[in-house]
Amino acid sequence: MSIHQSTEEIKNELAIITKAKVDPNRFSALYEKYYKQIFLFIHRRTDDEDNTADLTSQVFLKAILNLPKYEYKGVPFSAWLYRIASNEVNQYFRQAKTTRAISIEEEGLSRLMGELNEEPEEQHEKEQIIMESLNHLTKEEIQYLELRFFEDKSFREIGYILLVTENNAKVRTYRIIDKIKKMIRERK
Amino acid sequence: MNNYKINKNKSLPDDEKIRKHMDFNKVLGEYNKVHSYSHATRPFYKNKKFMGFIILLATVILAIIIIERENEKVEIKKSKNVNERLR
Repeated sequence: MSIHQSTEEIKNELAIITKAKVDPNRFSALYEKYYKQIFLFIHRRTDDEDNTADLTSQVFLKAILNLPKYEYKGVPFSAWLYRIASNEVNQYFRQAKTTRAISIEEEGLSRLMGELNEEPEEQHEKEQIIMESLNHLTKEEIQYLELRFFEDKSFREIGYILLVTENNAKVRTYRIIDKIKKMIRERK
Repeated sequence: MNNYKINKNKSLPDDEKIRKHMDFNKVLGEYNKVHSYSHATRPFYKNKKFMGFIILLATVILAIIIIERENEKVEIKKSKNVNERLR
């Protein structure tokens, strides 16, 4: 879930990052703070605990190695970790022959259904159509939906994680919504 | 068409399970390994001190060569002058 930090929290976090750039031992505070978030982010996509643990370790290793290059750009530090995690997951699925998982929770599904704004019909049937339509989306399109609706990220964060502008993230997300709407209409 | 494994409302690992996988010392150990290896195998042209030394050395050698050549020219001129005087 998206974390909205206060200015004070951001300041404190930046102070830890500055210290960790010189002394990697200081990174432990950030490891403790973000481990669970990153672990769950990866688990929702791999659906495998051991692989998730390995990938999460890789994410934090890459984060410490690349910390000297980190610059604050108006988004929480967690977004930088999500960017690394997203790349690690993509790399994992390019190499492994396993099926990519999509984890949907009730809250996220109702957010997505609200955005689709379709005429009310049998709730269960509608959910079924949406779930089926996910199989017609590319892995990249799935990432936008997951971040926006199932992980409640802002467009700014989505843009930062997926290396596009905030506006581009918004446009792409709504194009995917339109694509799903079209698929639903075709099914009717 | 992609075939994703769609999990609806599937329970995620609890805090205790997640904690079990947490090991900052392991990550730090990996960091030290990778960091020291990348330092040891860093290309020489990325080492500022080494490159500074090479540039300084090249400048000194170039200066010596130029001075030597100038001296040779002076020597040749001198010997020419002596030969002309002898004629």
